[in-house]
Amino acid sequence: MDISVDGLTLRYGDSVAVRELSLTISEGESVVLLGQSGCGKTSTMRCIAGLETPSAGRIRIGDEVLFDAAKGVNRPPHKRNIGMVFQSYAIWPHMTVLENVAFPLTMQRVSKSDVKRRAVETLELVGLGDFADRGASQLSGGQMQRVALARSLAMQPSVMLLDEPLSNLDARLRHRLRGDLRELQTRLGLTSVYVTHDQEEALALADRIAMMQQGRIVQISAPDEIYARPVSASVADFLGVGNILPVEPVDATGVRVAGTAVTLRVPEYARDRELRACIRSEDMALGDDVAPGMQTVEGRLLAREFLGATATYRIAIGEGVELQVMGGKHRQLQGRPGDAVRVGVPVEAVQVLPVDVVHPGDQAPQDLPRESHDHDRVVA
Amino acid sequence: MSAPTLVRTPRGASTPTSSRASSGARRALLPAVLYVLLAILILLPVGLVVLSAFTTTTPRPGSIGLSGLTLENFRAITSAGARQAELNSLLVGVASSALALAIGGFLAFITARTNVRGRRFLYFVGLLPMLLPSYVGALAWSLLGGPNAGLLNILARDLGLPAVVDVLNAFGLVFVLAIYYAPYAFLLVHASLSLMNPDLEEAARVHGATPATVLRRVTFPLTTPAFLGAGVLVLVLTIENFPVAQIIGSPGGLETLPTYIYRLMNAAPARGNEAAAVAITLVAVVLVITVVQRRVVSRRSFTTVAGKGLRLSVVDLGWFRLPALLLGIVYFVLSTVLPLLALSFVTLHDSPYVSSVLDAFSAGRLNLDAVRDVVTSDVVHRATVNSVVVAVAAALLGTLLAFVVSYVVNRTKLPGREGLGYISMLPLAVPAIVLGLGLLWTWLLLPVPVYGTLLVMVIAFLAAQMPQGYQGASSSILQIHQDLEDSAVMHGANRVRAVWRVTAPLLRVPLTSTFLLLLMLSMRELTVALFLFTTDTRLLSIVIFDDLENGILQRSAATSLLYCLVILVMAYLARRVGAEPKKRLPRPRSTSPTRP
Repeated sequence: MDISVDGLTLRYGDSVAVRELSLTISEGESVVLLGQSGCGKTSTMRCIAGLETPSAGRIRIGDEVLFDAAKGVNRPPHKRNIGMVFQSYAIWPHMTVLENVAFPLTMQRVSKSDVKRRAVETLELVGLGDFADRGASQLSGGQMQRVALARSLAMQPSVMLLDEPLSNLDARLRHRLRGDLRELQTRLGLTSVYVTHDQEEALALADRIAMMQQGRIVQISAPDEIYARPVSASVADFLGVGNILPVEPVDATGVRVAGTAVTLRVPEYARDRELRACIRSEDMALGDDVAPGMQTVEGRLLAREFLGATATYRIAIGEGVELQVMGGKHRQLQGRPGDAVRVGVPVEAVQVLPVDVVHPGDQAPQDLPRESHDHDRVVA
Repeated sequence: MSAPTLVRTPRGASTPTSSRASSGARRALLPAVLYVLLAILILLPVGLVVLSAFTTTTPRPGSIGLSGLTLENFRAITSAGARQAELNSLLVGVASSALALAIGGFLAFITARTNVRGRRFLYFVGLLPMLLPSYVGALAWSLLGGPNAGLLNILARDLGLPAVVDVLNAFGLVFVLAIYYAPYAFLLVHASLSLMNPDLEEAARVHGATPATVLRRVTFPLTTPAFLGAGVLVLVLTIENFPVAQIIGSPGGLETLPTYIYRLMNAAPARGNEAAAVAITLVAVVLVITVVQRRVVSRRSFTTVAGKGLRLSVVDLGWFRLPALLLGIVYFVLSTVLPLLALSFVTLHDSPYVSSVLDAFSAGRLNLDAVRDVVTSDVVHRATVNSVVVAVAAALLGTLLAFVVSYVVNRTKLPGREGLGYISMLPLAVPAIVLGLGLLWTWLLLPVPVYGTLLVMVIAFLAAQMPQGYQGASSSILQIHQDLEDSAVMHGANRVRAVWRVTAPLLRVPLTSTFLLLLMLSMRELTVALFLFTTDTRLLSIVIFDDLENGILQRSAATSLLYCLVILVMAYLARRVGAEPKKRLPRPRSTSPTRP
């Protein structure tokens, strides 16, 4: 079912975990709340679950209002019919796998024979049909995760909440289960909300990513969109953009890199108090790879880090200002630290963005008219 | 197989949601009930002691109030007798704590970290005296080490030697307190030594330290918090200990604060107000120590615990392996063997007056008459039943109350929950004799006819053992990840049901140990009940103490033996019944992985 969150605010004493957050998720959609720890993503999820009581706002799922501060509506969590996979999985160690999965069905007073049948069916769905009688404490991490998933699926929830569902697994397993999870979610048409701090996980699991900072959603869009066009330098940083350089505006399509004489041609940008040029390491070229006509910057090679499939080069372009450039294996740069290098920076690879977006709830994120044209201001 | 249909109206969708106001009132209900309970159990008794210290009358129905406010009572604490008692309390407390720490620390070190001979036996030796209530030990040592009639001295005389020992003085008091409180130090230091992260020591070895240097520079410094914690705990326990001081100290005229309070209360007429004033002094001393401990320990809590059960390096004692075992055996003999022998001898001897130990064996003066007397005695029968009933009831109710309180404190956001935790810990700073005094006045005052019943004993034990129960329950609740219970709620169980189906079963083992702890404490408790018993509600502990005070030595000794037996049996039964692991569950304690 669809979810609608409106003006959600959660306060703990003086601190505010979630600020006036609004979010609509349509039926069958998968939305990932992405952000650093403490940004309010888990709090938002726990508010939807009913494990936290918000200070203000409204939460609706389907036609049911679950929470409305103004009207004093607050349905207790066990009557919300929301499935939840906890970060720790919270598999009850004193029950078998089957008992774990059957628990929500018992709570729904499903008849005994149906409980067994449906629990076994759900276990088969996640590929754990043979594990029904296993003690829950004898499972591996990946199996626990699937039991947790099965337990929530068995209750036929109106929506699924998944709190960092992959963070307790090792890297390889994480990759595989991520794919499984996405496949299952699309196949069952589950309306899902994920919480994660891992950008790669978010990109893989989401129909839309809601980027959160300081209790707010600062940007919400499809994965490719948010990857290509972050609204601020801090979002870009979180999404793994390797170069974030303080710059000063020169004209409508030019900026100077602070602390250097380097001027970059860039696409048109909106003026703001503090600007950053954001360039992905993989979008730049080095040495012979620089295409004719490409904008170039001169620098000195500082270090080369070989990573197998790729190599990363650190290049100084001014006092204390470095570029990080990724080169493929097939186009290795021959050169020693200290050598002069030419770095190709395509104009369209540079995005000039404000450090942070302020109060995005109040206005469209990109639309940030700022009066300050103080060119001389040195941005640290 | 078809995918589950996902469109489903949530259960209970039609039930009207409660309004804010009424849910607020409901939220406050549970804490309010708990506050009332704890206030009656703990705050009222303490409050009445404070009130009595500042007024001219002791609380009784119809005469309570602030009339007759006075500071006169506090003259009592500056009288010569009280000053001597204060000084004695401090000196005896510090000396016996130091000795207990030395004994416990030594045993802990050799059993936890060395290749001493008989390691497992010594571990058992270190814990065993815990089963022996300190006043039984004191009784035994007063039989063994009295200056004239002490069995050891009589034995020496039999052998033509001069008198060898006299425990009925300050040194004896320090000695007896130390050997019976050493197990507390032993437990704490042992835990700290055996849970230490081996990496810390190995790092020192790698960086060039000899094994001896590692001990001196790393291992021992890391146990400082455990040592300090144990030291303060034992200090508080010895300062507030009443029965040992009464049994060992009083015959020689040595008075400590608890015995001084007891004396004031037993004077005719009872000098309750002065007793209350002295009691406040005692509370103040204990409070200061507790606060100092909190500050010291919190500042120096090194996180050394690995908890992975990693193998720690074993220190080679070399030539000292055997002497270390012998030292352990000396402690075993002094704390357990000799006292039990003395109790048995006095019980079996045909008259309460022993003129020769050796003759008793050769002249066949040993028989089971006293044992028969005790076993058939109505007083002892009744006391045994009373003790067991009171201990079981107090432990059950205490565990339940402690669980509910610590659940509210640790797992809810209900208003006022922190206060409940503080009140629960309060009795720790209130010596048993003072709490007993307050409980006496409370239940004389309240218009409920429980004074003189077993119920008042249960209530008293509930109050006295609230801190231990609360700590036990809290630490076990904190072991269980909150998600486990929240997860049950998300899957359709209401909160009470989630606690019942998930949290409580997971806590079965730790809660059972809390229950066992309270059971043992209740079985041994003497001081709190001292002002509350009547002829019909005497407990075993009181019978032993009473008989000793009245000079019925043989019955006192025989009852003590019986008492030790009852405690052993109960400990064994409770463990068998309670700790039996559930079917198919390899490790019932295991919880979910914690958040990184």
